[in-house]
Amino acid sequence: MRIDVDRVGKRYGGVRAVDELSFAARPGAITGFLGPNGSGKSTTMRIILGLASPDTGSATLDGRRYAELDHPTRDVGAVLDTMRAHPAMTCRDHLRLHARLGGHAPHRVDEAAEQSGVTAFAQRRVRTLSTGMRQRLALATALLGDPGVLVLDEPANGLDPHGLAWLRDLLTRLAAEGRTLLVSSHVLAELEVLADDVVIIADGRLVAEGPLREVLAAAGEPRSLEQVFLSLTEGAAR
Amino acid sequence: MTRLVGAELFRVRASGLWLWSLLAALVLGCGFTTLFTAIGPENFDPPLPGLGTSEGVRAVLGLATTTLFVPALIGAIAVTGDYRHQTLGQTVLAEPRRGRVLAAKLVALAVVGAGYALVVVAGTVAALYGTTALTGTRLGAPPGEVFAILLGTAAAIVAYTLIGGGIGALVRHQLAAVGVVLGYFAVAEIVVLVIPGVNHAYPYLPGGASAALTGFGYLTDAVAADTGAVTTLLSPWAGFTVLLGYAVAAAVLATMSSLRRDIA
Repeated sequence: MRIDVDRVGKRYGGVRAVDELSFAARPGAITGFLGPNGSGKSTTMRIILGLASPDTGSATLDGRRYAELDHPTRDVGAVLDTMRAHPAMTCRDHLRLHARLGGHAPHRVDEAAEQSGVTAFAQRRVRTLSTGMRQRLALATALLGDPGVLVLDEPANGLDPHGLAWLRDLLTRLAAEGRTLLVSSHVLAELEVLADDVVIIADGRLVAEGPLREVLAAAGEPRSLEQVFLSLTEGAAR
Repeated sequence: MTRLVGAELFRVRASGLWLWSLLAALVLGCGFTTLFTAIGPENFDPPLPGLGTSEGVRAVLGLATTTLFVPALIGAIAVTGDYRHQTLGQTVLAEPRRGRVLAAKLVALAVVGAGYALVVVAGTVAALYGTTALTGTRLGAPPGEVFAILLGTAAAIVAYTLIGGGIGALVRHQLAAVGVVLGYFAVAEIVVLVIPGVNHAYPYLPGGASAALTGFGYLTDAVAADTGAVTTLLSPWAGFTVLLGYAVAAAVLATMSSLRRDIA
């Protein structure tokens, strides 16, 4: 399943959060979604997921808006920028709740917990979790429906080096299975290793898009993703 | 829809809200009835007819209507939990049709309200008959009349739980919703009853409609005694319909307004 963002625009009051933004994310690839703070990444991801409505343009998954999907969480899994869950619930109950909401088989709870490394703390209440544990729980929630598309907003937040290595392996494996991954992150060194394609935005506008190698090559002399990102987004609002 | 209702019932269970609801139902049903029965309405201040009369039994059972704000609070807390803990986003990812999400929450709340009502009714029956058996008091109302009053109370509880849910969906902020529920049911409605002219609307307000369901017009009787202004209540069925109407109106308004906003 392909993600297409087509000339999306969104304003909040007088602020233009996203401006005529177009890009695509293809199956079997990890698309890194980069931009300074406040550049419109989270807003764009929310528009793709139907949580926010675009003022102009459209975001579709294989030609359909998120709200038009028959089994949305079987098609798309999402990690929003911060893990949100009822603090009094155990991780296992949180996953059971979302399995019920999405209509997923009960055995998916254990499988997603295992896949995301949640099993070890599944009986702990959400309020007692570290940031890294919350991120793993968020990923487990996204994976409950075994979706073909993953939209992940800062999934590396709060992960220690072991967690980062684990996340890298997991995302690589998921993409190798033919899934479409759109991943926003500020950990550029990590994305440089991980991403097949990149989309870079600044002030809500597209500044670069394409296979990572081509975007780096277009910068001329050998440069890192961080150097390219800094030069492309210099002066953007943060 | 069954899937969503099941998930919302699971949410009530897993979040621990069911435990607080059960405790409230036990205290307000069994605890208060035991206390009022043991004291006897003839010893209230001002005194009411004793339990040996139909009016006395009606008074003790009808006092439960003064705690109807509790199921309304449960409804408001259940619906606003998704906003307070910012979990609405995850919920609507599973069901993007937000009106269906709210409908499922309200159906689940009707089940929660029915469970709460069952505990209140069972607790009240046990407390009423248990305490009067111990004190040797002969009740002035046959079991059929007691059952009819408690059925009205149960219907009012379910309707108030739904009204609370509707208020929660409209207000969204949990503390504000709790404030609206307490402010209206504990203060505003009583004030309305004593304002000349405005009190004619009382039968159509939730308090008046619930009094119609239980046949217990504690407030209307008190005001009539003090001011001579007699308020005629609706029939029980009309009262129940009015209460459900409030819940449906709040839910429809929420679907057209607050539920359409972007989710942060």
